[in-house]
Amino acid sequence: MQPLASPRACFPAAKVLLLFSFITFPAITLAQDPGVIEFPDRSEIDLGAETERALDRSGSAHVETVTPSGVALLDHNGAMQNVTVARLGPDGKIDTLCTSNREEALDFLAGLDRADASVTRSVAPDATVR
Amino acid sequence: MKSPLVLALATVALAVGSPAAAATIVINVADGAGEGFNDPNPPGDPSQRGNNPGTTLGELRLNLFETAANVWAGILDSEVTITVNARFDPLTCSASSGTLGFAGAAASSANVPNGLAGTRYPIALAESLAGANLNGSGAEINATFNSEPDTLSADCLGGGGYYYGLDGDAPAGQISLFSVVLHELGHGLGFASFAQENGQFSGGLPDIFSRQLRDLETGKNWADMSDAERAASSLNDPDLVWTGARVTTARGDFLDNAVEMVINSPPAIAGTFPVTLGQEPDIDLDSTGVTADVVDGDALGGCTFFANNAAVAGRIALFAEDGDCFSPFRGFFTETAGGVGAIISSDQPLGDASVSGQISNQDVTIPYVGTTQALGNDLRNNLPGANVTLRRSTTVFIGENAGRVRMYAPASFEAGSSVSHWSSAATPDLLMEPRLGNIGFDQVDLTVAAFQDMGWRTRSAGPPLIFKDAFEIP
Repeated sequence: MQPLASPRACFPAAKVLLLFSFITFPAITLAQDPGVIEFPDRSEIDLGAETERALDRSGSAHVETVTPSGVALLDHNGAMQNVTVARLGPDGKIDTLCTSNREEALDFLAGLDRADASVTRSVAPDATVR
Repeated sequence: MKSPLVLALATVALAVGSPAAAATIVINVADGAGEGFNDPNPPGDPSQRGNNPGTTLGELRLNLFETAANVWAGILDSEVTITVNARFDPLTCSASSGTLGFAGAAASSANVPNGLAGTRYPIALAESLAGANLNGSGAEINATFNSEPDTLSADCLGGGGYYYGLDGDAPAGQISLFSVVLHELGHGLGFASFAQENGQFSGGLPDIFSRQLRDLETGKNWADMSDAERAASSLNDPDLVWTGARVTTARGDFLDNAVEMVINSPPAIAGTFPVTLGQEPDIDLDSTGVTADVVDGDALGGCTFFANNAAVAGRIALFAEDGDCFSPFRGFFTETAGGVGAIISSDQPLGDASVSGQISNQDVTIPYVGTTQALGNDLRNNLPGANVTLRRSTTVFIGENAGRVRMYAPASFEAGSSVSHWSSAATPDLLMEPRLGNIGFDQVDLTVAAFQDMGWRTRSAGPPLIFKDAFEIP
């Protein structure tokens, strides 16, 4: 299919490494949990004035004028933009989210909403993996 | 931020549309001397360059923006120059998360010559339709990106910095910027709703993007809804869909065929039902699929290797999700025993996390699918004797609902969601999905059809628009 459009591109190497690790350390029997990353407290994240304005969807920043030809022009004044935020994933890769929603951006930056982040685990050789 | 005078003195404009391009997109550098696009310093890590010919951070940034702009310029048709007011500024960044950048249409217009009446257009599209400059010296698109990652400080997203290569080969830990810029420019060109957080349309008129949206549950188009209905609809996944004919027609060119489960017997529960395919990359499943009797996987093994492989060999194992077993393991253990498929029933909606994730050190090639608890119970209550087929649909695609491509409308946020993206369920991933991960896109896939639905004229013989196995800049 499309290796570049898939988050699995790096997995073959990871599989080789993890398999090797089991050969070397057969005592490891538990499934590998995703890494733990410390994210900033949501309430302490300061998006900054520019980003706040970009995420402003109240319409208060808009200024409308009508040209002599009758075309109505609405200046967005930096509002109504889409913002891409990024965070480290448990596998060390960068995960990104584009949003026009301030609350969604803050959740993402605070490491919340991790339900659909990609998850990988390894199978242990004795395979009792609960 | 720089003063207007400094900005004016430092601003340079570079046309990036190639002679063969139908549109001309200009990157108007809005940074002061010595910073942002004018930064004379080399990247802190030479590997950030990739195949980008630039030597300074400023050159690398400009080359990347120009190349992304050229992708769009090579597809769209406009007699009016599209100006992108672009800059790099320090934005929010912590050791684990941060802002990369933002972009959008600088303005929008209504009463546009050759446009729909009572409809607001992003300014670049409005000018293309009108064949005239409508906003004087103003830019059509604003784009601001964060310069902090290039400090390579561990205090900003791990310190890997941006990858400026014009390919998809970002080293681990570096941020693949090209795809992000290509995506954000797509928003600036018009892939965005101008509905406000309360559902009200900016300027009191529906925008051309929102005119393509329909809520399948209510049966109403966005343009015909009240503000409150529209705000509610923005959270109504999976029923918010794109109605434009070109996207609907083209969806099969970009989306994988959906997976379905056919219950062949017993007749009392027979039928064809959508299921969610697991995420292991090597699953082999076509429209013929696999057909086999169903056995109770929980009773025979659970979340471990089966003790009696013969009971599973050649069959499809049925499991109930208990919240404790990583779902791909079910597929792996079933395949190891010689089984040809696995069904995992759960209380989660189809398409959610019931079969998400991958095993990092083993491959799974048999299909394992997620289904509802009700269907799982129907099968379980008919064992032995149930026979099913797991196969690819020939008419339904992943990321659609009732033949229409789904929009991103998660119910997680009260203040109206970010509907200006395709649903994350679309498979394979599309450029205008909300989560790009760190994967490389050089194609704009279904976005072109969306732009056509909105009224953009496109080149008849543009660059290849389908996903490729190799990253290629047209």
